[in-house]
Amino acid sequence: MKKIKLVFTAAAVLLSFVLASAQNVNLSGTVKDSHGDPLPGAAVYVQGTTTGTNTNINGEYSLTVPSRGTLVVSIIGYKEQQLPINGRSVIDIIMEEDSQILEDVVVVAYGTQKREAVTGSVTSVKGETIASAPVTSIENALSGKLAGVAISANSGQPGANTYIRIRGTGSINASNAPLWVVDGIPIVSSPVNFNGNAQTGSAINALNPNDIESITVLKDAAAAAAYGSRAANGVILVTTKSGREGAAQFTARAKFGMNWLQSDSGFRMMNAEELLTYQRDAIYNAGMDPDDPSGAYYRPLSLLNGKISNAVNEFSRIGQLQEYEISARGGNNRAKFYSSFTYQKSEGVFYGIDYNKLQGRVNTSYKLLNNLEMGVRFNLAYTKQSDVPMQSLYNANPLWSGMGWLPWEPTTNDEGLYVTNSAVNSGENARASATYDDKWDKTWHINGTVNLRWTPIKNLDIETKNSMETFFLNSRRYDSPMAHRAAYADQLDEGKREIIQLTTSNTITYGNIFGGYHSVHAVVGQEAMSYRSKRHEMYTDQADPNMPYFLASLDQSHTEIQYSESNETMLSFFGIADYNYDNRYFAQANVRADGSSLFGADNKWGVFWSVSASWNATNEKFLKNVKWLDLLKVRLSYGVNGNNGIDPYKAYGLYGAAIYNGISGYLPSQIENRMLSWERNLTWNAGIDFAMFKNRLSGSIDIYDRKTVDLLLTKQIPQTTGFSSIFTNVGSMKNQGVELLLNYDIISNRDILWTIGGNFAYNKTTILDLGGDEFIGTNTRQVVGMGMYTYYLFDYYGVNPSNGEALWVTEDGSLTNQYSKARRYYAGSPEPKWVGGFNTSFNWKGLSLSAFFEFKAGHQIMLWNENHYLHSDGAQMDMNQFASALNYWKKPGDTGCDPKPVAGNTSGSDDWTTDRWLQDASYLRIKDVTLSYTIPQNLTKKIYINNLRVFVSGLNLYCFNGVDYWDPEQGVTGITAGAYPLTKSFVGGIELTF
Amino acid sequence: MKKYIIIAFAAAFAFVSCKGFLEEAPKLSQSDVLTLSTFDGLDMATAGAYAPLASSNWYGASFILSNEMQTMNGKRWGPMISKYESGRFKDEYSVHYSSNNTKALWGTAYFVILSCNSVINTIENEENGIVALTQDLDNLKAECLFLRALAHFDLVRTYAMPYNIAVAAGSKEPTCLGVPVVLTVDATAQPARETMVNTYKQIIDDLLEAERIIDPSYARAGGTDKYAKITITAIQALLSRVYLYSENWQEAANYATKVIESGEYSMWPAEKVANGTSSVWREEPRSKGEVIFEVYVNTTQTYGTGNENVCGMTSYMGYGDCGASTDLLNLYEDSDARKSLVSPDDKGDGLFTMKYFGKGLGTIDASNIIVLRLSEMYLNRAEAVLHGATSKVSAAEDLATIAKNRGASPLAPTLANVYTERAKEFAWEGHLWFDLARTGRDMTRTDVSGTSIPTNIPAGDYRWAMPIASREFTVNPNLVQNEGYSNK
Repeated sequence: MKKIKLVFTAAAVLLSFVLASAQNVNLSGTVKDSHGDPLPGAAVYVQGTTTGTNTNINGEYSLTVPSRGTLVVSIIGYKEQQLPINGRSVIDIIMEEDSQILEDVVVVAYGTQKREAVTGSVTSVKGETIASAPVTSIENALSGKLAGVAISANSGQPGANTYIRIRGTGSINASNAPLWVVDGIPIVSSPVNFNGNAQTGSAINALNPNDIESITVLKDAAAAAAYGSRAANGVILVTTKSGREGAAQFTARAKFGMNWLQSDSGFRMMNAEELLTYQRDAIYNAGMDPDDPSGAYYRPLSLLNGKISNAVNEFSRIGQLQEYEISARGGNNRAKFYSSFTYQKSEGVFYGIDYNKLQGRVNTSYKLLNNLEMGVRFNLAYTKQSDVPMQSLYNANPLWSGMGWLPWEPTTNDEGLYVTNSAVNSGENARASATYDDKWDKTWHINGTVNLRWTPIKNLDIETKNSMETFFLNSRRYDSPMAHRAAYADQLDEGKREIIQLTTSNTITYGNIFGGYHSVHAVVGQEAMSYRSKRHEMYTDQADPNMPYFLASLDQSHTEIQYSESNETMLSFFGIADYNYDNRYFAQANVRADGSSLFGADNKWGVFWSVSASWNATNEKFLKNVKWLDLLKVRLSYGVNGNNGIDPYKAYGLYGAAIYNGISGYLPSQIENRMLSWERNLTWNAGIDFAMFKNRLSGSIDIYDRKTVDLLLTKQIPQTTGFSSIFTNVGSMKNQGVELLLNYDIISNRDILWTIGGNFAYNKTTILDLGGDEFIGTNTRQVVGMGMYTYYLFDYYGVNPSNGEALWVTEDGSLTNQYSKARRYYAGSPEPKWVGGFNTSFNWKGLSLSAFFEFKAGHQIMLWNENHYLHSDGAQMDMNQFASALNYWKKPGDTGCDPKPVAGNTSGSDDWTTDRWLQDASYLRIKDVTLSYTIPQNLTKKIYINNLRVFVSGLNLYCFNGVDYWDPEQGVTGITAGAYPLTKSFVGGIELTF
Repeated sequence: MKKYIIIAFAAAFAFVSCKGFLEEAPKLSQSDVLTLSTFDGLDMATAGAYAPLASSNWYGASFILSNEMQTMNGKRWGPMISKYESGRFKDEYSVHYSSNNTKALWGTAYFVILSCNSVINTIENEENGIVALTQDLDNLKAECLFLRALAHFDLVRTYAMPYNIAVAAGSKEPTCLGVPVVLTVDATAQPARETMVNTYKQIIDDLLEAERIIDPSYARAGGTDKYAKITITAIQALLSRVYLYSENWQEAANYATKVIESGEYSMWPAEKVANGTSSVWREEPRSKGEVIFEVYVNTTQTYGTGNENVCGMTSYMGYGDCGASTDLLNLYEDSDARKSLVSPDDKGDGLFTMKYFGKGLGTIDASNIIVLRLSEMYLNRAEAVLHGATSKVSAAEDLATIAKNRGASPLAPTLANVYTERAKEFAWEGHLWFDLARTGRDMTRTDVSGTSIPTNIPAGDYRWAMPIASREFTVNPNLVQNEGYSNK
């Protein structure tokens, strides 16, 4: 009972920290660098208080301090110093230059490691980097910042998921997503939503970027091997902030932003005059008369005299963002805490798209005994995602419907009501849908971890972490008669999802140095996980519009109920051993045994392992005298990791229902595979880390070869078995690549710090074996000898200059105007060969200007849904068309243009799967430009504020690209359907610490 | 204090050592282990094994239709008459098959064999300890043995040469290949084709065991159509046919007699056979008559639904790709009730069989497909007797029984007349092609549409056996293709 009280006491510290009063003395001194030059502008303050000042131009300071306090001195580019005052009246300080690269500690699997000792391929980002970018998602903040980590978005919708691929794609049927581990516990990795259209619900979205202390990405087998069967796609370790000893420090933040839809490639839809001219030409080309009221296509010029709409504009708006946050951090020598609370409200650029989030976190730790510490980490998030059916070709999708809406069809009538009876839009109106339909997902996400760490003897830690992660999701979709014609109105769909994941992770860690040279570190551990997921759905097409709920009076023959459930368990044992000799030679070995319910009875357990070594040459005697070289380290690793990312029950032989002669029976529905097992990744990695010229230039280079074997594929088997295929481990593929990371300080002196940095990664995916098949898929294929996705397309040649018809290349290389005779070939791939980013930041006193650029290159996308309908050469006379379609054949001799439009075009020139729609999607994006100013403390301390920072950012300000659409980013496959494009935004904010 | 800490950590470490932690069975579909562990599960799995009989790959459509279109019974009348003509059954009509375009019966029949083997092997393995009466289990096993035998029989009829054609001079037994005989559940098996003799031996063994173990009064409970259930007489009727195909004349006659004398069935009179809304071909539900075993089809069950079923393909109101020929019409004398079953469309054009006019009131929906009926027993016995089998009833009497009930003139007791009577009686029931094959006669026809339609397929031609699909050869190196076809 007493202990419980102590824990509450620790939490209560948040509200009740009281400054100790003590005797004051006058203190003065000079702050200088290691060359003896004075450092002006250094912050000098008493720890845990608001007492502080800045050094003057001569590096001098003076202030009144408590005689028993601790003096803290800090300035950018130098290590922070803490000195006990001990009643002194003069303290001169020599600041040591901060050589972060050598001293960094990074979070690694089941612990931390000095960066120097890392033998695998690891990159990390500090929390400040993530938090400083004014984006609302962690994944977006990481985009382009980590070498070899490709982050792509299908959608720019607030709260949308992203797709993270570390070192390419290594699997066809299992997952390609990395494992996310938050504070040592793997979290639910697949998005939790109800309607796939929304593409939201990632567990990472429940975190607050400002709560994050650091993110580490474990890329190669050695770094990730401790996560065994889930490590093949890399591991992302997120560490949230812990409490710190000292007075409670409060930080408040507020952000305001706006975002809008814009294409940087000149893309737009036709206006009314353009479309009418185009359609009239198309009608003439079809041999008809647009002015004939009885003709199939009546398009008189008088259409322009009516009310003209611009539906993209009318269905979209300037989106808004507001975010408020307060956090507190502090503690004493027994109890520490960090807590935060945020509220975020985003309005998308389309009517009906809103995203609201309430999120809170409490991280506490408390020393129960001198050698026993307990901690609680708790994150709560509530999100409400309004859902108009983005990512679809439905008429209620404001983007899709807006683009296709004929300009001479008004979206509102004379009374200002939304038009829902337009024949050309199936009686729907996306704006009416946004206003009257009731469609949302509400998700409650709770993630709590309790840990207990015991240090029975020096150098030995025994720790248990026990975690529960739950999702509760409510979903509602109601189609109002105000927005839909009778046949589609009053459809009501309500759903629930419930996910509970329990994890226990228990480790024993030992570390020591023997004989002054032999440093040893070892972890043994055990982990168990249980995942339970349930899904309920109720549907009716006869809801009462006055009470649109599942009333008892509903006609039960018009209701449907569905239920599904899937469960998974996993049990693991693992060991990690590190050894280093004299900080020159480093070696690490990992081994992990995973047992999983996902796999066949004869293959439930798998063993994964890695070995790695590195050599820090700079610590050798012969390099000690090379003054310009600060670090030279060589790394090499090899390991075997697993990929268990498949649905449950794939190994079972199953029976499904069959009805015959009025009798219910069972028929086999899935063949048993007792051998079903993990995909295995065999990965080599070699790397060099270097720093030189007093660490002004630093970087690293990695090369890797990642081979996936036992690829899970649907393999053909003799039909004499009763089935024609079995899901089994055959096939292989590989990823090879190079990653480069470089940072350089252009100017680094006491006033100015100007840095540039960049990361570049090249990856090539090659499918080696598909279990005997040459390819899988139809239009987007996996082909032996090629990458993960290859478009298989008809060969469009261009326009016939003499008559304006579309021409294709046939199998024998000749030209034809018959689409059916066109040859098909492997035309391109949506996988970028190069991904990366570069950044620069310029700091002068409190003023900071930073810019971040991101690029992807060497890949293509297929906007085949959009082009088929909206670039149709006359096939779609009831839809507006891309403005680029105005460049069509008009007279003999015209080349390099679209075929002549023909009303009711049946030539096949608008077909989906032609290379006519293949576009180079390389881009360079100005992802983020931020200007911030930290108001000098000598001004702010008068109002009891330690730190006051204001900033303004432009996000995705411009994207250099040649794609004829809103944005070149179209997801992993390069194919989307009416997706919410990435938007532009401005965000301004203020941050204060007191 | 230390003690408590140790206990706390020990508890955490011990949490996971529970047995069975890594077992997670699906909740919403039955695992095979679970399904096959109770009598109810086995019963449901047996009921389910019937379902694919109605598949469009088997009795639900193409098994019947392709065999008819390969003979003088079938004709494609073309889009002028078949208004919704879909272009289906062209290769069947021209008897033009390749390993990339062959009958889909293979996969469906082996799927049923798998379903049956799962039940049979579970019952045979006494260690499974199913709690049930032995007779109840035997009845399930008998149903599965019958279905397994039927599947193997239809496979060997389709994918192998006729039984007798390969009997070398001076040899008593055929030397050619049958089909793979599958008796176990094994996802990795790559079975070779059994010999013809062993294939038939397994079929007969299965049927004899089924006959021996089934409760003579057993028929599966529930259901709409009593005659779509396996009974002892259904087993005996199939035995009569299998013995006839393998030229064991005496047993063919004996089993025909058993069925005829069972009293379970009666001959349809001519007026019930003749086309009309109250004809036996549109009967629902089926009542006592000639049907011994049939495949029940309606539009709401798992298999046999859709426009591609036999009804849709043989009617001018459906796709109508499969028409009947004047060669067939000309077989019948005017007084024969069966002549009315070959009838033109509503405009008086073309010819179509009226055996599959649906069970609804004049609309095309679904028709049951008769597998075994009483007339066949009389004709099996007549044929067997003419080959030397002994019977209390003469071939002439059996032929007369058929003629009498059809309004036709009785035929003299010769083999040729038995064949003719079979052609008339079972037109569009999937017999003719196999009857021609097993009796070593040519397929000849005169009324064909189009120029590339063969009017003669001589006995012994490679086309009497269908090719096995190329995909099977890529995954089973032990398989051998029929002569005249490529593996690719």
